[in-house]
This record gives sequence, structure tokens and C-alpha cells, in this order.
Amino acid sequence: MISTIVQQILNSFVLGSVYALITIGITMIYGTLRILHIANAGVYVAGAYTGLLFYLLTHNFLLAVIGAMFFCGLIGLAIERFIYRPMIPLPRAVALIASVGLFIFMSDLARILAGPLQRPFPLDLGQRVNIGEISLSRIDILIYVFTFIIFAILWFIMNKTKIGYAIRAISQDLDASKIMGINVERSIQFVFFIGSAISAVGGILVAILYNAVYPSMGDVFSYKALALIVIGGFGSLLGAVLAGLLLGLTETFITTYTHVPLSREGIAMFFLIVLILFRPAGLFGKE
Amino acid sequence: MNQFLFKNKIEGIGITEKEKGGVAMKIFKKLLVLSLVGTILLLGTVPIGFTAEKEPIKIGIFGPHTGRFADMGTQALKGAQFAIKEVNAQGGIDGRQIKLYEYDDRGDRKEAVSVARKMIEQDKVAAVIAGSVSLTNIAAAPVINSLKIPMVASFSNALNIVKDHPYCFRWCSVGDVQGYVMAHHAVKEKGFKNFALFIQDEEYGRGIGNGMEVGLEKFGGKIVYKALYSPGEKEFRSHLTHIKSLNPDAVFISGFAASNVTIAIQGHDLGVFPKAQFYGACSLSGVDWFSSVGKKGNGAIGILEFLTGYDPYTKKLAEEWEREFKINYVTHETGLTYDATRLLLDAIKRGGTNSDKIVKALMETKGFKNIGGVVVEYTELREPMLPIAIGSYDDDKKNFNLIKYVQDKSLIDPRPWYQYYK
Repeated sequence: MISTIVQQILNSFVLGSVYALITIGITMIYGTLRILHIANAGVYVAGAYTGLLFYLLTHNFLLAVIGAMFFCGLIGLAIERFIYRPMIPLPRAVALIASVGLFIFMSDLARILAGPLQRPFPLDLGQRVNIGEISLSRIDILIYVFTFIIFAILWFIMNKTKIGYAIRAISQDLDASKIMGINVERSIQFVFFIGSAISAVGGILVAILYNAVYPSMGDVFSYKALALIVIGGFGSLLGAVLAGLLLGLTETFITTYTHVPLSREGIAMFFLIVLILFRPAGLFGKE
Repeated sequence: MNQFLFKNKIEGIGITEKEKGGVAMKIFKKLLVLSLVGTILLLGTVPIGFTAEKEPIKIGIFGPHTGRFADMGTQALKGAQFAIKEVNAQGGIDGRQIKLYEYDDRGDRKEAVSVARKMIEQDKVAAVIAGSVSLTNIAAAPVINSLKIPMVASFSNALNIVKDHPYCFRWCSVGDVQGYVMAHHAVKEKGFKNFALFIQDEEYGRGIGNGMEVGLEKFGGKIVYKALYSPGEKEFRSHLTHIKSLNPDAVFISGFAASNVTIAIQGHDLGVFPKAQFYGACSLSGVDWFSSVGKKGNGAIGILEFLTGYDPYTKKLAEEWEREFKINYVTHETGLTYDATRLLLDAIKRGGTNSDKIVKALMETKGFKNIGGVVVEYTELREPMLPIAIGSYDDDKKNFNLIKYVQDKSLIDPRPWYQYYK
């Protein structure tokens, strides 16, 4: 019984880690520009496809990850420069609508370029690791390791570097940051590059986890990530991570041990509604 | 005379009577020449158009060619195209070529209704092949039926597609039959007692799920766990972890191929399979299964609608298939749609393109050999009495090893299942 519960918690953390990885890009961008970057789910799809392509070309997993991160980082820069920057003076709803449109465009582009069918990610990581009755697949371990490394680096950047200070300042007050001489443009570009590169990692890891890359793989994550940034508190990085883990745990235990007739997505949305009613700023956001 | 002429010239229109007659003659001659040239041109062109090319017979097909169910719709389309190519290569039907109108319903119910209307009202198709999933076919079938155009659902198993729709036929088994045969095989032939069930929560999955539950109750199996999930779901580890602790003999899955793949892989990683026997329905022979499951799918038992390569007819067909599509497996969507298209064209050949005559010819189908090499006939409910192929998956062969064909009518008859859908 205890081993089953431990196994379920580990399953939840795999899910939660994936959720955190795909939410972090949206959270960082919301924190700086106050734009709900739904198209990040499109970047996540692009990450899975480019990761697969680089892997098929090189047969080297690390090269595939680095290549996809760089490529998606460039996509992020292009989105910031050509889509969002001209919209900064306009109401934020305009950027949100553009973002939704861009996400649909990116998913369709993936379908046109790669075809509508699901493709396997042929990375064989070997046998699962058994510790007593607990069983962990190697992709689970890979997801834990990547999530930990990425958040450690991100924490270091945000708390120990100049660019991190600049991003934090911009997230508090963009106009004041400009007056204080912070290079706002470059900081925002950095946020888009890093956020998109992290989403690419999320895309690749999910592709390996489910052995599937397909054009509509961003659909569920687009609105789940939206729920997660609300639950975590708009723009809060720690909130995004904890919300991801919390949602992973909740989904796991509710879908398995209760007779609540809700799908995983239904549970996420239910959480979202309850939170908006009782705590509009999210779990870790400030009122 | 001169005076007369002069007078006429002055009083007339400036020409003499004689000149008038000459002009009229010239005009008449010119008209005659023009008419002759026109007639020659008409005789030379129009009849050639009529005799050389008869109007093609229009057949419509709809299915999800994009979106999350694109794997199934595109596979079905291949089957229809392959069958039509064969018939056209043999000269078509009564010298008329077959033209296929292809529509993408994107796996969306509203879109399915819209394209069904479009192909009937705008393209004027003589008949429709429903190469789509159950949830969209259920939406389109009443519309197609109300427009009195014959439709053959090639691979969608939900019972309500055909029920109460006299113009709608099916060319696959009813979902419930698959679940029932699955339960019979697991309990009666393998001796399993405890079962965990994964049921995809839409028309297709629920139909198979109903057959599983009715069968398990009748044959004496015990359900220790049941989970419903949405189409397209990919995360099953929490369910599988719990299932592992319950130690069932077998896990039954009713759902699309992509979900079958993730259940097989995640279950294998958690140690649920192969300790517990994996059972899947017809979607197990979907393209996602063949391309993605790998060796973790070995030994999975499929309750399928056909298996190719087990008699000379299907062996030859499988070879032609491999040449055409460069793949060494036939998915159930492709195979069933290939059969449904051949069946429909066979009915048109016998009955013509009139709707009611096609329906009559379909009902009178005799001796039609399906892709599995089995002769199949229709029941009065426009459902085929389709034998079920039970097979065990072998990833090296990318095919199922045939365990047996179930031909026992008490197991495969679709008619008793109508009582559950009143």
C-alpha cells in the first residue's frame, strides 16, 4: 500500500515537472510584458519536432536538446520582435488574440510540414529502475533531472545575475525600469529566448515520455498552462512550479481514487474556477 | 427604264430592285455557309464529347484528415483510393470512371454534418463512404439518411450510426461485439478471472465497454477496476499503478490506437504487463500502434476485424498493398474502407446509381469476400455478420499472429446489441 502511494507521488511529480516546464515560459513572459503567451504551446510543439529532427540527424540526445532549445529560442525572439513588440501600445487583449491565432498557425504549420500523423521518438533509454516495489522508467528520471537543472539555473540567473535583477525590476514596473536605465528591450528578448528554449525541453521530454510527436500535442497544454499560471499566481516562477506539482498530485489522486466524472483537463479547469472565485491572484500571487 | 430605275433608286433605299435581290442572295449564301460550318463544327465536336467520356460516378468520402484523429481518417482514405484505383483501372462501371470527392471533417461533429451536406447537395454524389470515427459518423448519419443517399460506415463501430437509418450500412463489427468476444476469449479460453477495464468515454469506447461488461458478467469474470478516459488521453500511470496493486489477470482497453500505445508502454514500464494480459479492440491495428508501440506491445491480444496474409487472396493483396504504400501492415481503417468501397461499387454495378437501387443491391450482397479472405453477408439490420479475428501482436513482424477466427454466430451477431440502444 505504501509503495503504491509512493509510486503515485512519483508519477505525480513527473506530471508536475512537465507542467512546470511548459508553464515557466508563459509565466516569465507574463511577468515582464503582461501578455498571456498562449503561443508558447506552439513553441513547445516546435521543440518536440525539432528535437526529433535533430535526434534523427545526429542520434545524439544532448545535441538534439541543445539544437531544439536554440531553434525555439530564435522562434521566441521572432515572436517578440514581430508580433508582440508592435502590440505593446495596444490593449493586452489584442496581443492575447494574436497569440491564440499564432498558436493555431504554428500547429497547422507543423501539420503541413510534418504531416498529420503521430511520429514516435525513437530514443531507447533502456530498462526501468526498480527500487523495491517502486518502479521508475529512465525517462521519469530524465524529467526529474532536467527540471531540477533548469530551475536551478533559472534561480541562479534571477537571483545572482544583472540580467535577472533587470527582469525582476521590469516585472515590477516596466516604465520605472526604463527610467532607471535598464535595457528593457534586451531583457525582454532574453526572457523570450529562455522561456521558449525551456518550452522546447518540455516538448522533447513529453515526446519521449509518450513516444509521440504530433501537430495537436500543444492543444491540451495550451489551456492547462493557462490554468497553471492563474493557480500559481500570475508571473510567479515559484508559483508556476508549485502549481504544476500540485496539479499533478491532484489529477493523479482524484482520477484514480475517486469517482469524480471529470477528465484531467476538467479537474484543472475546476481548480481554476474555484481559485478565481476565492483567490483571484492565485496561490502565490499578490493581491 | 432608266427613269424607272432612277425613280426606284430615289424612292427606295438607294439600290435597285435587281440589286436588292442580289444582296439578299449574298446574305442568304453567307448564312448558308455559316450554318454549314457551324453544323460541321457541332457535328465534329459535341458528339465526340458525348461518346468518348461518360460522366463519372461520384462517390463521397469524409473523415478526419487533419486534427487529433488524422491517423484514422487518412488511413481510411488510402483504402478508398486503392479500391477506386483498382476499379477504374479495369474500366470503371459500365464505362464510367469513379470520381472520389474527399472531405476533411477534422474529427468534429459539426464539420462532419457540414461536409456531408456539401457532398450531397453541392457535389451530387451517388453514395457516401463514412471513413470517419464513431463520434462524427453519429452526427452525420441522420443527415445523410434524411437526404436519402446510401452511406457505408467503413470502420466506425458505434451502433447508433446504422440504427433507424435505412440508407446507412456498416462494414465493420458493432463495438459491443468486440467487447463480448474479448470477454469470452479471456474467461472461457484463457481462464482469467479478474479484470481491469479502460473505457474511452465516447461512442466507440462505450460500445466496446458495454460488450466487455455484459460479457464478463455472463461468463463469470470479475471487474476489479474500471476507468473512463477522454479520447486522446496519454497519461495513464496513476491508473496503472493502482491496477498493479490489484493484481488483475487481464486489462481490457477500448480506445483509439494512440491511447492503446501509451497504456501498453506505461503499463510495461510499471510492470503491469506482461504479467497481466493486455487486450485491445480493433483500434489495436491502427497506424499509431504499428509505428510507436515497439516491443512493449508484444503479446498484446487484439480483437480485430480481419487479418491479412493468412490465405492466398489476402497474401496477394498484402503484397500489392506493400508495393503501393511502402508499408508492410494493413491498418483496420484502411482495410475496412477498402472493403466498404469495393462493396459499394459492387452494389452500384448491380443496381445503378439510383439511391434506392443501391440500397437494395447492398442488402442483396452475396458471396462478398472481405480483406481477411472471409465471405461476409448482411443481416436485415444492415449490419454485417463479420467474423472476428483474434491475434497476438509481434513487433518483429509488425503484425498479429492469428490465434483464431471467431465465426460462432452467438458471439458475433450484431442484432442482440440493439436492445441496449433504445
